[in-house]
Amino acid sequence: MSGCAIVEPCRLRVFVGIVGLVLGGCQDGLKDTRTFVCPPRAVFEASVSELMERRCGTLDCHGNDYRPLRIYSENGLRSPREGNRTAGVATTDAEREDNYVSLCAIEPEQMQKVVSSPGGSAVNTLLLVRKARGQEGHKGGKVFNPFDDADKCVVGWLRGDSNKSVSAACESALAKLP
Amino acid sequence: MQTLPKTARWWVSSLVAIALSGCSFDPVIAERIEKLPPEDPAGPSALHRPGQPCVDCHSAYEGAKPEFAMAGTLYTQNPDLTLKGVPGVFVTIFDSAGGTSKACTNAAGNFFVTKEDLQGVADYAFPLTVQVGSRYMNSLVGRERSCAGCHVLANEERIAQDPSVDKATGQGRSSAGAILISADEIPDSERCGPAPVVTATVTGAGGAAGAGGAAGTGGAGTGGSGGDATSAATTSVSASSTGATSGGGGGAGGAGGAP
Ligand code: HEC
Ligand code: HEC
Repeated sequence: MSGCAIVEPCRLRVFVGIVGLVLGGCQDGLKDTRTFVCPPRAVFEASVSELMERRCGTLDCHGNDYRPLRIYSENGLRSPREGNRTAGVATTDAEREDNYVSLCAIEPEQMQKVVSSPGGSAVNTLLLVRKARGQEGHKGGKVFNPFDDADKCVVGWLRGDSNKSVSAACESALAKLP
Repeated sequence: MQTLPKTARWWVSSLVAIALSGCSFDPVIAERIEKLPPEDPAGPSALHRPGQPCVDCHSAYEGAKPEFAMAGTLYTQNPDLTLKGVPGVFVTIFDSAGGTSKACTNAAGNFFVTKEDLQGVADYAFPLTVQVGSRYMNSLVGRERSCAGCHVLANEERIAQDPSVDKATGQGRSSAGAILISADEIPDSERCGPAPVVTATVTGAGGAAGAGGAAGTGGAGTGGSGGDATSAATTSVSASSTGATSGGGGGAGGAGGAP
């Protein structure tokens, strides 16, 4: 519940980054691309993104350049690549794609583990899940209850549930929002 | 504090805040307060700092009294595109536990719900939805207590940084801009305050004034009128669900979702 949850890790990351650059001679590393597996993109863009845009991506939460885990949307922050305004055109494909990348890039190795054992319990250890469930320091508090529709939408997607059950959970979670 | 230059003051207050609270310094809020225009020449009052994020200051964090649960400013756009505060309109806030609070804009277009106004409940249950006149906001409010935290006015810095910013309203890639409402979007039931807006075009508006507004709050009470223009912000809050208010109430408050 404190600003430090946001400030400290950022500083830490920058610090580790600088040390990394110094030790690494500023040459290698950054050029390499490593590939990680992330849960299916189509379901995310069709169903999961919209719920996260509305529940998590408001301008005062993750629809904000200053906060970690950036989410773009129609009624939130717009992608700097496209020149749209808040409350302008509907969320674009490029924005949904960026939202996908945002989520996948939080903990790529962990995410890969989750994807490689569908239905497993590793999903419960993801920072994304723990924060949304309020099990880990989260400025926004507890947003999902384990096994409610919103949780089933996002966790189901991560865990490899069928597209049908994921999209049904997302739709029903959206309908329950005020 | 007065004798220190601004930046020094910022650092001192930041460090003091960190030291005192262990961990409660919020760099986003601190930067926002630091960049605000100076106090109105007339000094602090209910009419001061229209369009600014009231609750950055009127909070436990910054300490200005009274402490607000939610506050902001409504505008209308003049033909030359400049903004003008809109007095005498109800702003209704619906919380996630079924609570409803209403406040009336004053002569500056400012409105506020104080923490004390939230009788019977410690605080709003977030997320919130908002109604102004016949308009319902689609976006949820996740945690921000100042309308101007999301409805940011245009300023030189924003215009320089973001070419998409509308120079008149401030709408851009990271803000919905000023909250705009025009006379034809304010039904009589959403008008309030001691000084009714005289709109020549409305027929039979007669003495509607503040009384009309009270009908909206499903038995929760008040909505009445204050004395002079500065105390015109009136609030009524109900802790339990009040059901629909006029015009279809909660159900319409964004239930449509995104298209
Ligand atoms: C930069 C900080 C700041 C901002 C922003 C701000 N205020 Fe204030 N406000 C103050 C201070 C300081 C006082 C004086 C009382 C105190 O020191 O506690 C005050 C006083 C008030 C009072 C009490 C006046 C009285 O006569 O007792 C009201 C009402 C008020 N403000 C409303 C608002 C509203 C509405 C907004 C937004 C449109 C707003 N304020 C924005 C700092 C601020
Ligand atoms: C979390 C950010 C946020 C906060 C806080 C916020 N708004 Fe909004 N508001 C938006 C966004 C984004 C839009 C544009 C899209 C929409 O309608 O939601 C908007 C639109 C609106 C609209 C126009 C709705 C329409 O007809 O399309 C009104 C009226 C409004 N807001 C009033 C308010 C008031 C009053 C407050 C303070 C009580 C407030 N807002 C606080 C984000 C916010």
